[in-house]
Amino acid sequence: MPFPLALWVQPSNGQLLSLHWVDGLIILIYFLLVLGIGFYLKKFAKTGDDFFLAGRQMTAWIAGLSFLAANLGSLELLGWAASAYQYGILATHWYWIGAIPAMLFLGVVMMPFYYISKTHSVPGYLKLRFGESSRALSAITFGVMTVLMSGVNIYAMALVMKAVLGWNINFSIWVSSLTVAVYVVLGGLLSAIFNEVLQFVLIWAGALIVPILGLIEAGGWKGMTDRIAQSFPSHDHTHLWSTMGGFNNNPMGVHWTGIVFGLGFVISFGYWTTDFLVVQRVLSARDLRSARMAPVIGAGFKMMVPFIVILPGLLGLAVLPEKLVGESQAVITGGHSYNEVLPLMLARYCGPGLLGLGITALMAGFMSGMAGNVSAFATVWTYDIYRPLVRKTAEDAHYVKVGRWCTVLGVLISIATAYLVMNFASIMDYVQALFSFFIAPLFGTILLGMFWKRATPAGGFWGLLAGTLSSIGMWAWVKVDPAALSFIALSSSAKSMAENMYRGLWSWLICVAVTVVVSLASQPKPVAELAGLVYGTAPLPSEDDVPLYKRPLFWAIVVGSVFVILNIIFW
Amino acid sequence: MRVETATSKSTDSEVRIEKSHSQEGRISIWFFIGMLLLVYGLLILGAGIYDLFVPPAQQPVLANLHAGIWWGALLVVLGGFYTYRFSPRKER
Repeated sequence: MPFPLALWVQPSNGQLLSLHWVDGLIILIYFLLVLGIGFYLKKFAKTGDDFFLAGRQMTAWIAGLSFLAANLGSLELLGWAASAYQYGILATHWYWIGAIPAMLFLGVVMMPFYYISKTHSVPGYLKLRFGESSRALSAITFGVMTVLMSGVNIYAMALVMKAVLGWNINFSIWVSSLTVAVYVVLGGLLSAIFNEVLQFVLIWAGALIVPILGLIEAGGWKGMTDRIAQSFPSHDHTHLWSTMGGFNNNPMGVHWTGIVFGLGFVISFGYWTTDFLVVQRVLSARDLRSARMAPVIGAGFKMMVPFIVILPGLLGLAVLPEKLVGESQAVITGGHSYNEVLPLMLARYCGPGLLGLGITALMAGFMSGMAGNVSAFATVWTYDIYRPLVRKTAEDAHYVKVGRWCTVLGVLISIATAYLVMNFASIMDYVQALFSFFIAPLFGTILLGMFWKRATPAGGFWGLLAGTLSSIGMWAWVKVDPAALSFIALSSSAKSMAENMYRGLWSWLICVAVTVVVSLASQPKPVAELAGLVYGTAPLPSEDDVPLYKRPLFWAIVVGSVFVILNIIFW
Repeated sequence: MRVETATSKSTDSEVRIEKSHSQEGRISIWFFIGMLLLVYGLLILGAGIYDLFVPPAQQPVLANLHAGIWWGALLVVLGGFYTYRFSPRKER
């Protein structure tokens, strides 16, 4: 899920890295290739299905890698490496319990309903299940939030490029955004997915060298943990669960209940199963089995991402000679902040060429995240806002044209947001919070919609609205009265991440409670109208004719078992 | 959008959205990835070999391992394999 962007508000002083001409050439080749792919794919993006759902031709592997890459933005890489330096291995929870169960649940349980219902989008599913009002609420909120998030991402990325390479902020904003705009406008989701898979491979090729060399320098895992224990004796940085018994036993100030129920259930399931930014990639799969396999494949790779994100942060604790500090302290002292741990590690081990590849990996991460945002924005605004509310009947070509213009519009609003954030830094915090308001209640609405026949259109709408408003209310309460944190997050020493988790949990519970109460008091839809939308209303496709090793459930069990073993190993 | 919805005896492979044929003849994404890794591998390998003979003034930590050379070589091998395996000529 998106990394809290507010951590990037303050630009650091000084430039961390300087590039050789080979590094510049590597970056230039990358930009030329992604643009070239956009121009090449234009001829394959003719129909609405081509442009908005990549022709529904993607294999499970491509849909799965794209599903993951759309989430793996550069801020994700830099931000979670910074969190690993700050909080130790606890940051891994966002990759394991905060992702794997939800991704497997999407693939095994929820995907048939999304896929069989023929929907283009998650708000589209809400229309089929609960009616137009739920769709409109969900689509407008999603569209606005997605494009604002994209803008905040651009600004944060420009700040990173300024801090790391000394690049001009305007240059970074315009060059990166226009590149994304060109290739998404030309090839639509097909182009976005192609580039996301390319970017995913690049991220691994560019970032994997750091943990390999870091482990060699630190003397392996044992050497690393010994060094960390020696340098930071006050906290345990290398155990996942053993410090979760109390709020004050770990540097994150979180209890295991917050991690398991807030992060592992509500936030994670909300993001991975209902955020259209990621679900859209899976809907592009060529058949139902591929659509179900894609999140399982994504989960397998997601489990490995801590190797290139968390491990460099931990290695930073072990091998960097200077102690990194918080952003505000770094600005005062002129030292380096947590946020710079990944660039510092790149600079530590990478010579000319490798450094260019590492920087290209960061840019690739940013661009895959932005392309994901604008392509999802274009789809939702075209199919869930423009078509039902502005022009109900038109030729397919007309909607493709609208989708292309929506992409341009989305990029321009993103750029405008980036400049707005530049002038009013606190907006970054608000946008991040607004995004989180919507995800947890939406998961409640979709979960009840898919698994409870009695849920009614009125229940769905009012539950979603109540969940969203209560989340905003809780956030505002803590802003006005910080003492409210001890009610919302069950502890006055909870950090912002812990607050987000508990707020998500409460807003989900409120959404579910309101949906249930209103549904019981209102008229349900006839069961015949729910066929293919709700569990138990129509038989799901059988997999009897599919060999075991090709079944999504089989691979989900394999991935789930590895997930359990990893948690035990690093307990 | 057209779809074959699930029926009581439908099998998984039947649940497939009817598609246009506009994607036929498209070059595989793995070919582009292979090309990029191949070119990057050659550049990084070249830079690594150059550094071997003309070491830079500021050497990275563990420079004695010559990471540029083996990492570049690995990318060349991977990139070469994917470029060959998914080349449009071979696919046809």
